[in-house]
Amino acid sequence: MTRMFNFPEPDGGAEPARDERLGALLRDAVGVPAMTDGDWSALADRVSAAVRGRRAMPWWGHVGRWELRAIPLALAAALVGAFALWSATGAAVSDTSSASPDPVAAMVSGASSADAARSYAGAVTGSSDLVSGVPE
Amino acid sequence: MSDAGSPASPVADDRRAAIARDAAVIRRVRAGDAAAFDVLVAAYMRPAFQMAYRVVGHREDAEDLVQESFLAAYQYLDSFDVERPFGPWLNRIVLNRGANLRRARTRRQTEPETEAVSTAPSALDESARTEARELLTRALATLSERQRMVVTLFDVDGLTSTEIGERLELAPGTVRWHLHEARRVLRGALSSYFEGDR
Repeated sequence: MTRMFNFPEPDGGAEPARDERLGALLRDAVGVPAMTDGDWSALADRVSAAVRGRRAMPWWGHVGRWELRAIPLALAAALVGAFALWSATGAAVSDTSSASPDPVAAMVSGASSADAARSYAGAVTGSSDLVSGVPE
Repeated sequence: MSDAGSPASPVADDRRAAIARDAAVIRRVRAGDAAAFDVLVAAYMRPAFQMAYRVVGHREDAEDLVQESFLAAYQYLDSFDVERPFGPWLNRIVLNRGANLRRARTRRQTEPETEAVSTAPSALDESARTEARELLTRALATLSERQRMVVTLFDVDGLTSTEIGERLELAPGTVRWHLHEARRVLRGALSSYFEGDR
């Protein structure tokens, strides 16, 4: 879309004259590409061939274009996933081992078998007293 | 004041005809006739290259940029509004991708390719020309991208303000303002070469 600004017209809106001296110096500084008809033709062929290559590209070709980004991303995701899995497994093992009292050790230390069983069951299930409320 | 947007002008008629022609070609491409895209390549390759060369300053890079821009245009052709002119849309792709390419390739030394045309004032000897070129290069670097583009397209490539406006999607008056400002800066930097003009 043409953007319209209210710039003051330096020459009253007339087309400016060519500045030959500045133009010559500019040409010397920024260069002018030397393109022959053959060069233009070669460029057109090259662009057309690239477009044909693009439309002939199979779906895995498009996947291949993403591999430079996808491989590091997949590696990073795999690392994060592995770490998360390892953390969760470790925590579960740690919880089980620390929260479960050894009933044999409890009985050896003098507790009754019922107390040892209650303590073990309570630790495993999370309930403080499994038998409370249960009629004898 | 010439205005490409004036409804009755021949320029506007040409513009409308070009839009209609390009729209027909684009519809063919969208319908599966991908070879029709060659028509667009033939019609817009030269102005796209001219723009690309002014952005990257190197022929090989400009050719790469033109190819990349046409590929992008082909890829996103479905999103193009056929009621709009194709050329400015393509030029916008060239400018955007050219800015990225230039940043990525700043390490490459870009000597200007001046073997084809070298029309600096003959009174300037080689050392003076080298000095002028360095001053001008530094002054060009202080201009905005738009001003640099406008002054080179006008004073080097010989386009009119209307043509530049169509390519850069600017009003011709805005182009003339940028040209005026760019020339002021450049002539200031080269004041010793323009003393006789004052």
